[in-house]
Amino acid sequence: MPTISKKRPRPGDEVNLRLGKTLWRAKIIEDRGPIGIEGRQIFRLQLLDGEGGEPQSIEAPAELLERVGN
Amino acid sequence: MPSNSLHRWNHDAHSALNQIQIAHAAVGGNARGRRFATLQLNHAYLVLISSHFQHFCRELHTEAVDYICRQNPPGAPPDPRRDILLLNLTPNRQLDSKNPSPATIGADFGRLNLRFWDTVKAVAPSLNARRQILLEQMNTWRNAIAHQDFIAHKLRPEGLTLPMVRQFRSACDRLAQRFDDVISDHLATITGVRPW
Repeated sequence: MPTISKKRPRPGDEVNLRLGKTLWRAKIIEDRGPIGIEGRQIFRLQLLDGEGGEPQSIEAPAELLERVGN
Repeated sequence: MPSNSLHRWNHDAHSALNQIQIAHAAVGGNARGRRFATLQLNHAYLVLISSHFQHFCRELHTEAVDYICRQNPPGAPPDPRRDILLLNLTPNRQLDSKNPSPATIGADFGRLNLRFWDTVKAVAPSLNARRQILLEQMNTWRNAIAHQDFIAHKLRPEGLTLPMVRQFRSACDRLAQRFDDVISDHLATITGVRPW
C-alpha cells in the first residue's frame, strides 16, 4: 500500500488530491509556482484515474495534495 | 493593488523585455551587418513579448480560478460546488498550448461566464478595439517568425520595425492592466469580495 510523504511535491511525483469525499490519484506535470491567491503554490496535475477518454490535466494548490511514496 | 500576475508582468516580464531593448541599442554604428542584426533582434523581441504575454494571461486565469475555487477556511463548512469548478475550469485550457490570440484569451476567460472582449472594450472602446487588433497582428507576426513562413502570412521579414514592436508591446501593456481590472471586477461581482 502506498505511503503518504510530507515532502514537498515535485513534477513527476504521484499525489493524492482530496476534493470533498473523493480521492483522486494524480501525477504532477508542472510546478506553476506561488501564483495562486495570497501566493499559494499551484501545481498542474494529470489525473490518473479519470473516467475514460483523454487524460485530463487540472490545476490545484499544494495544500490539497498528499505526495504518495518516499 | 494589482493581481500577482500583473505584478510579475510589470516587473519580471518588463525586466526581460528591457534587456532586448538594451541589446538593440548596443547594436549601433553603420556596419554592413547592422541592419540584418537589428532585424533578427526585432523578430526575437516580438516573440519574447508574445511569450511573456501568454505567460501573464495564463497566470491571471490560474489566479482567478484559484480565487473562485478556494474553499472556506477550516472550521467553516466546505462548498462542494467549488471542488466541481476546480475539476472543470482548467482542463484543455487553450492558453496552456496556444498563442495568446484574442480568440484564445476570450475562450479561456469566457469559461468564467464572462463575455471577455466585450467587457474589455466597455471602457475606452476604440482604444481597446485597436489594441485587440494589434494583438491579432502581433500573433500573425509571431507565427510567421516562429515557423519562418512569411509568405503564408503575407508578410516580409524586413517589414517588422522596432517602432512596430514597441507598439505591440505598449498594446500588451495596456491590455494587461485592463484584463487585471476586468477580472477583478468580475470576481468581485460573483463572490462579493474584491480579490485584489
